[in-house]
Amino acid sequence: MGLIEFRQVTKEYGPVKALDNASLVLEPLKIYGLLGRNGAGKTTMLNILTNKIFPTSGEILFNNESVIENDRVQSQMFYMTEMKLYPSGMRISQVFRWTREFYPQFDMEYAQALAHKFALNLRKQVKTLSTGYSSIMKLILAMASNAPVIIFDEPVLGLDANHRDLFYHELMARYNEHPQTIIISTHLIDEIADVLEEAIIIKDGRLVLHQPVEQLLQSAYTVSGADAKVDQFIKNRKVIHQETLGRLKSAAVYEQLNSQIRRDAEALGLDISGAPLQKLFIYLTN
Amino acid sequence: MKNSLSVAKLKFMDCLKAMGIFYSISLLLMILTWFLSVKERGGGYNNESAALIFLFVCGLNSFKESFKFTSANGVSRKRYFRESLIAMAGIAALATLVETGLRLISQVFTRHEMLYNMLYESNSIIAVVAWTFALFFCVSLLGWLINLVYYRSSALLKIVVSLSPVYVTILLIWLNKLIGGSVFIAIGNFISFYWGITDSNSYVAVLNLLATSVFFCGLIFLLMRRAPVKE
Amino acid sequence: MLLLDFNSETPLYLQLASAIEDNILRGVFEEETQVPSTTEISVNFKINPATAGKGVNLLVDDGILYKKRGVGMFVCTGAKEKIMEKRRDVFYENFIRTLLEEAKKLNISKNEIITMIERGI
Repeated sequence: MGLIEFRQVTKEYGPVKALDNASLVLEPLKIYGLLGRNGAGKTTMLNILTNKIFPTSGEILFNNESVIENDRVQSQMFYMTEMKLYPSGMRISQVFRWTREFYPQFDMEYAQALAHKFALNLRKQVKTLSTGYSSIMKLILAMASNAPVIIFDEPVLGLDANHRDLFYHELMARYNEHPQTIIISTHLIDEIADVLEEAIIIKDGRLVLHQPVEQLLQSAYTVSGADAKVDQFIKNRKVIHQETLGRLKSAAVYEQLNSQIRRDAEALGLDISGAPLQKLFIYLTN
Repeated sequence: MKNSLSVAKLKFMDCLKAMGIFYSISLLLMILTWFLSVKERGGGYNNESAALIFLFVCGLNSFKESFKFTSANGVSRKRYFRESLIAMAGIAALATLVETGLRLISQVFTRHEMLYNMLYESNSIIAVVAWTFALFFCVSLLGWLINLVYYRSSALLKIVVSLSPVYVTILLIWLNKLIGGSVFIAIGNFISFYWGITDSNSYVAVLNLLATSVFFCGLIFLLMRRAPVKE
Repeated sequence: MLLLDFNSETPLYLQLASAIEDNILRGVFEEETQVPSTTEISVNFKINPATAGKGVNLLVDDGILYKKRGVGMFVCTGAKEKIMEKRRDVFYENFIRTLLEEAKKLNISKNEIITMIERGI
């Protein structure tokens, strides 16, 4: 049984379909990656789930209840949005305190500990925060909210390499100690892949695929060798990407690898290796 | 979450800060006028008109920021609407209380003319309190409503809405000319009925103000119902 | 300790399993001693605990690790022997064949290979 369910959800902005008949079931206590290029409809989907906007048609259920205008359901989710929704003149410490008003499970000590780790000054006002620190403030709110479902929209936007690393580390530490349902929307698939359990790929408002990351990683492979041989091999196969260097050629094939394929490749004197994730992602979203 | 009234608390606290500043200045001005009026004798100070504008601005300013913030915290529009009404009633009540208090204090020192006394003869404290509260509440709702209309409008509609007082006035003047002055007379009659000036009964005004408040609430509710959250 | 190569195209859980095996063979994790928990692995390498669990469970299924309730994962008695056995089975496939292929490309004769191996041992 799913915790969150999208049933044929469409969102139209005039003639543009930001979300086109999307159906999706999310189970509790997993980490999901909502992946797609900018403008693919990731944020629209999350905004509809958290009732920031209304769908044109379709249903969105949380524990079999509609999420629309439903306080009981919405208080079960914390949404870290890219939108600037926090009062600009408010101090971070006040933002923490008010968040606790709305999420009584909010872990103030943890929030303060995280703020210390990220060197976020609690006396600062929201408006004085840089893009990176604005993300950090919202990350901390989400992680400390203790809501059963936490949703991140582009969580590492503006964060430097150290802070990104710290975020993934803290997220894993928290998740292991205190499993929650987590949805992370991002276009940075390489960075996030190892953290995820399942990947949802969205393109032009449509769901392209939803499967365990492990399976996604194994859904393609690379062959390389002499160009003529590679061409012979990839005839009638779904090729994601090709590269040639002189008479050398390598091609990424979208197909699950098996021993028959290995033998075929070997017979032609070709090498087989795994597919680069980024290439696979570009193929699936382009 | 149930009955915690966190939204009402947020909005109330927000207005309270502004109110503190407003009444500090008011008090200062009152003391100043009191000093001046000692020599002149009989000069009154009227703080209610200022309070009226203050509550209107409060209503105007209290919507967008708190709506976005509560929405970031998973609060529904319905809950926001419900608790905002509570907060606004609270602010109007507090302002009424302070105004009444100021009136009682300042009457000791000076002839304090209240807006109310200019319109009605009655001097019953209950009538004054009821009238002041209804007026304050109605005005803060008007502020909220106007802000909400802007929030829901597209850029073009914003201009149309902004110009609406101009063409309504032009329309009225034109109509008035057309029918030979009877439009303005009708408006005059309506105003004096609305405020209960005809028979100097402030309770008529209280009822009319409350009815107007209910009407505003209805409009606000309709505009809130499907309001998207946006920056 | 365990080092995972995140850029390798081998699935992460397989890499994890073989990294733990390597360390058992090297004697870093001795028999009947504790190995890092899936939580520790997940947090340290920032990987999903399900992935870490999958790698560890693979070794449990192979009889290399076992779970002590409420304590953690331990190395089975005889694990080292088992790993050695398992790896011996694939030694030809994984190492000898590639060695011979490479030797063929380089025109290295059988005797030369044997000499080199003897030099190495």
